[in-house]
Amino acid sequence: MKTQPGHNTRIGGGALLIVLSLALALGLGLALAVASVLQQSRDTRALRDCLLGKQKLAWRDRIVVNTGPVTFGAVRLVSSFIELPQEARVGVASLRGAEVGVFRGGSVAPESRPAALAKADELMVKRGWTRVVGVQGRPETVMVYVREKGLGENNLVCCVVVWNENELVIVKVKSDPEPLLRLAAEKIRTEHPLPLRVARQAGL
Amino acid sequence: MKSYKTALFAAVAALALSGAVWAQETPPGQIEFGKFTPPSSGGEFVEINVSKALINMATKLVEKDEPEIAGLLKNLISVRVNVVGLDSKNRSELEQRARKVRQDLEKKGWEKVVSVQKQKEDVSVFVKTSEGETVQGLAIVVIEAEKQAVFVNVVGDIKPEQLAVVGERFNIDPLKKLGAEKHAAAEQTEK
Repeated sequence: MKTQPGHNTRIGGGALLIVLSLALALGLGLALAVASVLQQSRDTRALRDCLLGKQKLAWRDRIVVNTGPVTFGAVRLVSSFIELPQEARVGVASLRGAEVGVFRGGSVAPESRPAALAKADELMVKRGWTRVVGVQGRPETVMVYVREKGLGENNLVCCVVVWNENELVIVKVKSDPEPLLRLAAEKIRTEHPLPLRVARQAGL
Repeated sequence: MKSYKTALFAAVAALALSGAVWAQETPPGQIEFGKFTPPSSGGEFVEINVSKALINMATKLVEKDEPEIAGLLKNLISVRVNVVGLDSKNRSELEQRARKVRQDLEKKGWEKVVSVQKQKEDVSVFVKTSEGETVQGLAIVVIEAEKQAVFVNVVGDIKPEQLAVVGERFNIDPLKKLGAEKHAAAEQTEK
């Protein structure tokens, strides 16, 4: 049986097209993955813009790392083969995603900070976050926000802001707090056992 | 003119209604300390605000391993802590505010369980109870003359014995004592 040369060329061209498309998709996917690792999420970006206001362009030095569940899954897998202290292992087991943004180079006077922080509070509340901790001092200000939407025993998303005069650090962590709290409870039980009298009063 | 009156009536009605809703929703143990601003000298300024959503999450987490703590958390509504560093500019305002909070609490029938007045320290602990059985609110007001003002409000519906458990677990002496005292008082009321 004879094969038609035109037909062969068409099959070869189709396969090449598929391979090229796959390579392009893979490249695009990789580029997007790399870009997402170097990008802040919407909430933290809005928070940064709110805190720095018009001066945001002056804060040129920036380091952003944004890693998701896949990376942390790999870290968990690797850590299972390494001997680690219990606390570190539990910490790794708790993490689901993390994002760190460090901005340097600009400067905001301490007197201007309270107004910016009040604005940031308003913005975060609108976006479904609540401020749990706020420590304002010189030279450092620390704020901790927790996302109320989707908050559950296996899902805690919190955002920590540390603001120095010329450095702003925004960290967002997505975690499953259960392993960490279990470890804390175990430590409390062994370090402060309940006296029998109190246990009886509480009906335990 | 008529439309003006209608609008005025609607505004008054809306205000009254929102007031009634607020009164219904505000738990009896909740206090309004007012808004605090950081000291201009750059001193200490700490705000902690733990809402019901976060408490619910913590309750679910400790339910299995720490049922006594979960029992207490289940009955908690909110925790608020404010620490403001004192300086020459805000000292008198904060001292006045602390006095006003104490007076208001006494007027509203809160029980003063601790009162320490030393040369440089002024501490008051108030408790709001529901017929002597459960603690609906705990308020702590501290003025350390050279250092800071502290305002704490814990809101919930807490049994005294649960307070003692938490005091023992976390080694908090005032809670241990308060829990034991309140438990003894509740037992006496029962008899």
